[in-house]
Amino acid sequence: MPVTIVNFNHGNLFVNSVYADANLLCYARNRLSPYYKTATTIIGDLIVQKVPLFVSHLVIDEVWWAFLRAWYRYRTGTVLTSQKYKNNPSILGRFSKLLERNTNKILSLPNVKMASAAQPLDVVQIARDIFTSESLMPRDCFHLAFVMANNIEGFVTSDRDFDNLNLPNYPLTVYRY
Amino acid sequence: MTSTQFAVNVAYQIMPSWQIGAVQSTDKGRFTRKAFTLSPRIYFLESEKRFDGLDINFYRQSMTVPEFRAYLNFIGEETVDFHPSDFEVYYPDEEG
Repeated sequence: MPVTIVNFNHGNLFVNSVYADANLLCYARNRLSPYYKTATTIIGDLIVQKVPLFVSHLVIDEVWWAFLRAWYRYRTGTVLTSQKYKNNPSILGRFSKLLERNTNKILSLPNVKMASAAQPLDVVQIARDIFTSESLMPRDCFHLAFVMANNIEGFVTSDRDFDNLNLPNYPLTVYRY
Repeated sequence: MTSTQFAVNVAYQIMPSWQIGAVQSTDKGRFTRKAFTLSPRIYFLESEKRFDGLDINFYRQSMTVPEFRAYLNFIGEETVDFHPSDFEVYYPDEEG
C-alpha cells in the first residue's frame, strides 16, 4: 500500500499519532535553520491537536550527532570526523551540558512519547522485511519498524527518502515539509 | 555591585531557561552564560527573534499554560548552522 504524502500546511489535521524524524526536532530548536518556522509550526499544531509525538532512541541519537557536529564546527571551524573522535574522545565532553539541556527540552515537550520496542524481535523482523522490500538505509528501516511496531499512523520528516514507500497492509501518512 | 548589576543578577535568577539559552547561543562558541555582559534590552530582543513569522498568539490561546510554556522553552534556542551531512548517520572516517 503506497504511503499517503501530505505537504504540511499550518492547520492541517494530523492522524492520531506521529513519529518525528530527527530533523524536525533539530530545526525547531535552531532558529537559524531554513525550516525553523515550519518545524516549530508543526510541533505547535501537534500540541494544539493533542497528537502524541513519538520519538525513539534512534531519533535522540541522531539529534545528538547533528548538534555535536554543528557545535564542533561552530567552535573549532573544522569538521567532526570519526577519526578525530577516536583519537581523542574527550573533544566532545565540552558539549555534555548542552546535550543534556537539548535532550531534556525534547523530553519535556507535552506530547512527546518514547516509541518502545516491547517486542524487540518484532522491530528487528519488521526492519528486516522493510529492508528487503524497500530501497532504504538500515537506519531508516528501523525508524519505520518503530512506527509499525507502535501502530503510529504518521511520520513527519523533511527527508524525501520516504516518498515512494509501499508498505503492505500498513496505512502510513508521511507529513513532509 | 551597582544597581544595574544587581538588577541584571536578579533578572538572571528569574528568567526562564530558554532566555538563558538564547544568550548562550549568541556567544560564538564559548558556551558560557553571558547574561551579565548583555544589556537586558539586547537580551530580550534576541529571544524575541524566535517568534518572527510564527502564529504565536494562536498557540498562546490554543494551548494550556503548561503546554505553551514547554513549547516556548523548546523552540529556537539554538543558533547554529546545520549542514545536510550533519544528519547522516553513516559518516565517512575522514573527509577527502
